[in-house]
Amino acid sequence: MVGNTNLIKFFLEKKYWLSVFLLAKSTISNQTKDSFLGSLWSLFQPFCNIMVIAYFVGFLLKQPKEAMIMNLVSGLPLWSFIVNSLTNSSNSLINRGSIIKKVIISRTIFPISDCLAQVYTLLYSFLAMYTAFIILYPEKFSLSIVLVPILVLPLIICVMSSSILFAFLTPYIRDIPQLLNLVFSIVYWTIPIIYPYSMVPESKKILFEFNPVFLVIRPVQFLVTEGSPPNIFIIMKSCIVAVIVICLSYVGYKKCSKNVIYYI
Amino acid sequence: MTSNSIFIEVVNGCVEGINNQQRVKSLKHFFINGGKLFPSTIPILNKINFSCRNGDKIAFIGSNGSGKSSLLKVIAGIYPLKSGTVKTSGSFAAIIEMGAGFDMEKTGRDNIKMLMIYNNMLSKYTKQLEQEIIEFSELGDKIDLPMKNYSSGMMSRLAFSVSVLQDSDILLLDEVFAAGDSHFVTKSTNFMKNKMRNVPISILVSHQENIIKDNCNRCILLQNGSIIADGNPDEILKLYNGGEY
Repeated sequence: MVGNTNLIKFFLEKKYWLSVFLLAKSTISNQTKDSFLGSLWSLFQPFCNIMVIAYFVGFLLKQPKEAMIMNLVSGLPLWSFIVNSLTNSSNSLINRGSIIKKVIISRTIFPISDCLAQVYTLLYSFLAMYTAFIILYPEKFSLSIVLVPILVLPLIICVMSSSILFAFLTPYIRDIPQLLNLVFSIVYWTIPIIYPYSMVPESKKILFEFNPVFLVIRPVQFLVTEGSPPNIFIIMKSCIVAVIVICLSYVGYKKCSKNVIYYI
Repeated sequence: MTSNSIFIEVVNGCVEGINNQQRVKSLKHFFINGGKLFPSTIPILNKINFSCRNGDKIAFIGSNGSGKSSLLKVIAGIYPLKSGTVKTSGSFAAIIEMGAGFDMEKTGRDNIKMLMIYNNMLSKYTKQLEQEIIEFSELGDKIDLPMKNYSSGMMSRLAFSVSVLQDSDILLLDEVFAAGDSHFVTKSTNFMKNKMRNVPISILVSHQENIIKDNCNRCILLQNGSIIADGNPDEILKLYNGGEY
């Protein structure tokens, strides 16, 4: 039976990932369908954001504005990816209730494809913001930036697995999307996005070591802000968080998946 | 897979849904109207015992809400059982609702791929199969128009063409015969009849007696989620129409 079939079996099938990819492609193309600039909007908007912020920060803040901009470039796309992926995927099954009740298909395809569509946005927005940053501060360019796709993997894995959990939990608890928004608005201030990590007092840094969101975005943030690859401990911490999130999500999925169809 | 190893077996199958009327929808509903955080369940199927083997062409009949479509969904694996077991062997094609998942902004051609995802047949997608679907639907050049510009008949043609060109050992159909204009209805009905004859097991939910008599060799009557009669289509239809059950 589809609902009870081993999730791992599906993950190993080429057909599964092809379906995920096609659904994600469809979501992406619908986002800017028939617009004149099309997918260029994904580049244009974040590029402009950084340029405008850089202009205002220049005369509003006393501290060096490079640090502030670098922090935004490294944190903002990742944060938007987390928020948008989890918010969208929490409604993945409910929005597709009419399909899910009538076809034989693995239901995990939907949250994963929603999440994959956000990976595309993440890549574009990061690229646009980094380009804007390098135009403003060419001396900050570092070749090690090519490591970003590897360093961002633990974060993508975390978000994809928790998106499955939230997609299967929301039909039971319909307040999940609102709850997520509340949690995100609090967590936003607990990670260094609009303030540099260097501003955090040494005595308070220990608190960040227990913040899973900070730990998974830290490798990319470190790479962009320091201009060199993070040390192995920073990478290991993000990998450990990813493994824990996968395990917790799998347990939650197993508990919710069987009867979810009746709650949609 | 040998045709003898293709089977479906449901033993003591029970299905329970949730009572959405009781489910709490807001704080007001919770405090004033007595909505429940954990709503009670409602029985959908009760102790279903059913099996079929190669050569069975079965029709599920019964009044609305008797559990025909639910039993079909249990067999397809869409609905889980609360208790009991369901064992199946063989590949499935379940046509529960044609066109479920159409994206109106996309072209007919794009939607062929989408429907193949939802029908679990993406691995069989080839340009040749896509062309066969287009030819069967007789949509011609209109296949490259967005679906929002299609008439309902054109949508039915495309949905039917994608759905029926699935190859499987077990065919599950839920009221999916008529599609499009009279020429296409005749063509699709003949195609479907031929398909039902050629698959090892086919199960059909229908209220159309002529289709049942022409295509089925076994008929199962359901009432209030239970199987109350199983036998020859003529006898069971007589029982159903007479209301003597």
